[in-house]
Amino acid sequence: MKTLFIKALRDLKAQKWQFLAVSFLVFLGIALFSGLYSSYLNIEATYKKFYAQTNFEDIGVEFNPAPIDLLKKVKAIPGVKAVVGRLTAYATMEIEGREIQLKLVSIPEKNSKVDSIYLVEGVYPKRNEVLILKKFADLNGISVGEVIHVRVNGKTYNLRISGTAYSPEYVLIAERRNILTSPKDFGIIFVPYRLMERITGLKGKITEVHLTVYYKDRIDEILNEVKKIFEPYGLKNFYKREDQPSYKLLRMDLEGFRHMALTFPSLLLFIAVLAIYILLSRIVMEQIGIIAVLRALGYSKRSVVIHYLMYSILIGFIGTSAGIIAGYYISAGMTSAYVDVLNLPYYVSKIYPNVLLSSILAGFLTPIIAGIFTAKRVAEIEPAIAMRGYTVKYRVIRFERYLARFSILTRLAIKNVFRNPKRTLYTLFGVAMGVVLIATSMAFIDSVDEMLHIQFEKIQTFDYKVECSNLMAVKSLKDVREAYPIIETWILIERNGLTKSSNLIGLPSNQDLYNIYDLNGKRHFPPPEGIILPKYIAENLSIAKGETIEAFTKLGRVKLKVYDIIPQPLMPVCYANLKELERLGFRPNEVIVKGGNENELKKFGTVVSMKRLRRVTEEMMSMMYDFFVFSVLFGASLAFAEIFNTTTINILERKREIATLRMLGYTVKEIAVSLFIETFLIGAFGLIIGFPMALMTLQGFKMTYKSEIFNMPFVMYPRTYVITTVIIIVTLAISLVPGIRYIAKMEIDKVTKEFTG
Amino acid sequence: MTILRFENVWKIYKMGKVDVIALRGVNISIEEGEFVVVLGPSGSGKTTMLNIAGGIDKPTKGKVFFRDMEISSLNEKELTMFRRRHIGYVFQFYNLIPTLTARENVQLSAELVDNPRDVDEVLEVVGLKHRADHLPTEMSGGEQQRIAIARALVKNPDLILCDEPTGNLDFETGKKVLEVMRDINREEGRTFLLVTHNAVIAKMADRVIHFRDGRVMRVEENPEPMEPEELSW
Ligand SMILES: Nc1ncnc2c1ncn2[C@@H]1O[C@H](COP(=O)(O)OP(=O)(O)OP(=O)(O)O)[C@@H](O)[C@H]1O
Ligand SMILES: [Mg+2]
Repeated sequence: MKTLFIKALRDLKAQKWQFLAVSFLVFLGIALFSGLYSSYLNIEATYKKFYAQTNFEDIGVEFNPAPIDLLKKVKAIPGVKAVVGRLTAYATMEIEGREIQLKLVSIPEKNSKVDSIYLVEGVYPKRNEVLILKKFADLNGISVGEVIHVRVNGKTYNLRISGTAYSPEYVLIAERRNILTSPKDFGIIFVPYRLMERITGLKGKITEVHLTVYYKDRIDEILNEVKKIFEPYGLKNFYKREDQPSYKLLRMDLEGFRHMALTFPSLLLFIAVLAIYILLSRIVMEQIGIIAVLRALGYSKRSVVIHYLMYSILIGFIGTSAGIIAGYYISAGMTSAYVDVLNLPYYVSKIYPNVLLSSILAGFLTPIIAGIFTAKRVAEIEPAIAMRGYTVKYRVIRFERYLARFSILTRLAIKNVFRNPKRTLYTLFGVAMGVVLIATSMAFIDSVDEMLHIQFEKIQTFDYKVECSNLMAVKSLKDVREAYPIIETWILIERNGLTKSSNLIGLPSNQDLYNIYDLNGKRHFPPPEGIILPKYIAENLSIAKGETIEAFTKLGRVKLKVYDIIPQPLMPVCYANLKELERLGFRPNEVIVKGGNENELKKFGTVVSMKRLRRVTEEMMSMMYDFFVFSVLFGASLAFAEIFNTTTINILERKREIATLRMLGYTVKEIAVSLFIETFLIGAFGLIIGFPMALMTLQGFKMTYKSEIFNMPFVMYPRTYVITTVIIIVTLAISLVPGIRYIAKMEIDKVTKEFTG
Repeated sequence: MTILRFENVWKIYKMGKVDVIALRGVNISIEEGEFVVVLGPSGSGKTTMLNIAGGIDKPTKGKVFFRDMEISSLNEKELTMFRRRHIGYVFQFYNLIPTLTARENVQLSAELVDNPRDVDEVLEVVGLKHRADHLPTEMSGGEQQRIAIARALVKNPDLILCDEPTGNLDFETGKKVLEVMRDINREEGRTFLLVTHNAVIAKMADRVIHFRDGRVMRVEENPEPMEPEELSW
């Protein structure tokens, strides 16, 4: 047995590049699985720990200003553990000439027992002091002791920072106002309640309550009780923990992450099974004679099969052990990178025995499954072959007539494509998988670009949005080319006890600065009556076109007709005609402007510059870009390993035949050309079937990543087709190199000797 | 004592609708310590007979005995064990493992049995101890074939089966290989069954079995077998 093991090692060494290529596939699969899945578990453990430590709320309710005394009533509801009431306000501050959005959130005199503040530096604030979200402070260079100047409703407040902190409510900032909030461009300031009363002018009032409960199973009852208390003041939104916007966004993001941690590695390992099978079956085919001799010598079927499974085990060992080590670093890096964009004070990084075990299992099983398929063939080999020699049967397709005008080597190339259909199919599949991997990774980049395109060149084409109602004054500014009033407000749609909250946008007809598009890129117009509902709300609440619905708004309960239901890209909102909303009693609260000058517009109210918003969004996206660039590289290297493997095998398998050609007097160059033609014929077919497969994969992503909050447009730009094709062709060309070098170096006599003895 | 006995052995290969009859009722018996050559034209069933003798193929009809054991009724596993313990093979195409050195090729076979011979000693017997660490591709055909003999020998087999062992070798080299076999047969008393279509080789045998069309035509005793050195073809 020892000598058989030596043989396994020698074979391995003789084909080290092929073995490394397939071990690399196992390695990638295991590294990604153990790395990503561990970081998923790490992140989950991190926020669970943080939520527990900071008493994250079970219930939250938002409403129009109501007396703070009502908190006592809430506290008295049986089962309520702790309650906090709250005032909030939006504000801005200037940092290095940029206007930054803030949310001010009131905190009680002493740290509350619900959504407790996690103090990182400094002390809990008194009087005119505030706390600031740690990450925001760091990113903007704000330190403890500094005084910041915050503008709320046109007034400036000078607030001293007493410390930096985190809050379970803002682990991920999910604000309806912005599609994406980067930790740098949206700040949370925690303000003592007394100070907040002054800032908002809502003395003795609150607009939110958050509470924890003793019994999770009584949560619905308690929520109903709380709703009853605040209903008279007008409910704006209410949710249980799993619907808390920040929590929900985090959960969704994590689910996507988990999904990725499972699908990517599975895909990889699946490819690995195929690649290993191809490699092993080639070795077996090449060694049919050897196997027969071993059997004739008296080696049992079992020991020969085990010998060939040895390769699998070695591949599994190399791939898995390297993968687990790399996975550890990926997990550590990934966890800290992920937590870096979250507002969390620490992260948990652990080794999970279950993940380790699954990795080992998957890492060994992948090559062993491939090995078992080959083992079947090994077992079938008769020892009698050792006596008689053998010939591998190839299919020869007779279509000389059509090929007559090609040179003999071209003819050989074309025939080779068809002579081992199974092998050709593998190569074809390998190329197609490579296309899928590269094209879909690149399509992610395309999709981000498409998202920016839709948001800033199709939906919102204005330059500025000003929070003011004085249209005429804005219009009279000299640089302003176009200006329209719009209404931007919130809406809570209720049906059969279920609710969905959304933004409600009132748009004037006859303008094209703010446009409505559906998911298919079709443009819609502000409806003459009623509202346009996003599809997800309609589906969730089972609302049909033409029905009349009930909704809470800041004007109280209203009845609205559903004019149309459309699936929307990016952040879905409800649209209505400005006139319709005005008829209901809403007043325009914003003006959208084309042209104009930010400094002049500022006099009328808070200004949102689309150019800046775009830049901020692009900055945010650049982080994602890095990830996608990584996955393109990853896809390309995977495609490379896969294609390299099948192609070199295709050549090596024909050693003897090529040696014969060389003996006949064909030059290395002539044979290389023949191989090029053959490989590119297969490559071309691979591309043809690969792209539709890539589009289908993309469609799959579209289905998985569809969410209520955000609809990513998944597209593939023409550039992706071009670049992918180029990468594949280069890969094919490179993977021919070892084979051609082999042919060039080939000692013809040795090769023939190896075969004939 | 009889080491191998064929009793009315038939072998029929079914090739779709046609049956190829390779052996048509073969009766032979080989004595312990003999050097027997089976002579016959191509396609006469020599290899088929040898395969059945060595337990890598089974007869369609008839019985084959190795000493007292009926090997024609053994199952796959038992046949493997039979080959392992009793049979040494030497093939026309040497069939050495190209990635293993000469010594390792012999070692491979030695590891199959409980009391193998010393690998280096066996290499000495075939006169190739000095090439022990060479790979098959670094050796001539004759040297490879001698390694193959060492590989058969190291297991201490009772019966050594050789199929055209010189078929691929030139005359001088072929003779050298045959010499090694003859010496082993004489000095160690090992039984050899050698198959060939080369009538000259038959002259060195104790007995010659003539084969034709899957049948034994006649058996010829050689009272004074020639030394391989004396052969010429
Ligand atoms: N696996 C097989 N399937 C079908 N027919 C076979 C098979 N093996 C051998 N035969 C046929 O059986 C007959 C005897 O073959 P065998 O190989 O025993 O001849 P041989 O005497 O060894 O010939 P050679 O000297 O050419 O090696 C031939 O007609 C051959 O075609
Ligand atoms: Mg033969």
